[in-house]
Amino acid sequence: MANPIEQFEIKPIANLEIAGIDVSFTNSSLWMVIVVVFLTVFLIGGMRKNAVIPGRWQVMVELMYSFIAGMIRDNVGKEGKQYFPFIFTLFVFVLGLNLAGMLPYAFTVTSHIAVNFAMAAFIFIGVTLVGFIKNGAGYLKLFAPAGVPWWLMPMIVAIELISYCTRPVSLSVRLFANMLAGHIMMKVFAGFVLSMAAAGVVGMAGAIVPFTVNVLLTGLEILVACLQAYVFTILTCIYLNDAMHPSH
Amino acid sequence: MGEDKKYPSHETFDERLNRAQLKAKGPEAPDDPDTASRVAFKMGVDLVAGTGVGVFMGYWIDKWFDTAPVFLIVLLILGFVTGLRNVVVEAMRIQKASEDAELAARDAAKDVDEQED
Repeated sequence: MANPIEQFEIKPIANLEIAGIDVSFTNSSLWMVIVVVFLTVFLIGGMRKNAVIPGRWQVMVELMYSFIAGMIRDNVGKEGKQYFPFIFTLFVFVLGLNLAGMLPYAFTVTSHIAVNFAMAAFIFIGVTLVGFIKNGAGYLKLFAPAGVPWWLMPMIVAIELISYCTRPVSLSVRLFANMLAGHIMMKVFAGFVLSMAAAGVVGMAGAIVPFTVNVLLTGLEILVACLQAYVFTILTCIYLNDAMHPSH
Repeated sequence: MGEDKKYPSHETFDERLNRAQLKAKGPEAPDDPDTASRVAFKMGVDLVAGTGVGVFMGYWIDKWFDTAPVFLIVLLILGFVTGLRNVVVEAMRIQKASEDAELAARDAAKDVDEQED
């Protein structure tokens, strides 16, 4: 039976080293490039005609645009518009990586915490900078909710500060754990199919059960892939909203 | 009698409108993100993340100021409290969301009643 963890192994394709740091082009980088190229072709290709009455392809692109535009309008407000390019890129990138992981023989980039945490840390630092640039020192009010007695203040500030720092952790762990768990589960059930089918005619008949489960799991995983991309993006919007209106 | 059957849309207009509105909303809101298993998973991660971040901060502060294990212990406890705080805040958010939805549903039902009167 194939090892269910094997699919997450990073394999270098071209070895590279810059200033003593290993920056090899790996299967993970390859899939990121594939997804970025696909998304570029998909988005630019869909809008190449720029028709008033859109065709099927253009509708797909426009739906994605209006989905994210609506999300930003609802969660950040009108001033959020200026961050649209970033949020949109983030959404299509995560969604593309999650869905690419569902292809046979593909590598699921988002199943690695290193990738997700890098994105989450970037968002965390960026949102913090936006908060300080927009509100100056007033952004620190986020850590001191109004109406707290003075003797509780030091503890509340410490708790709020730690809570603020848990954001990138919970943001990245959620995406990573969902992708990892789902893909391991699919591999385990696929392994059941193989090992049961090897056990003669009865096993062959019994193998239908894990096979059916795997078909259902595939559907569930596609839902999870979309949903986690959505969750990742909407949380970014919520953090951005906190940075722009830190009323607590 | 025959005419009633010819225009069945008249009586069920509100129903059809509701259904059409729900359908139009469909792709904009991919599933309800507040199902029980997802909430449980989020709260689990929140709880552990608080403690984890507390320990991480405590460990490094101790290393810098050579005060081991004072900050590790203090921040471990504070981190755990933070995790609890995050779970409570999340629970309150979900409760508020469900109450809002209930109120909205009641208002909508009231509007329909008034229109029928």
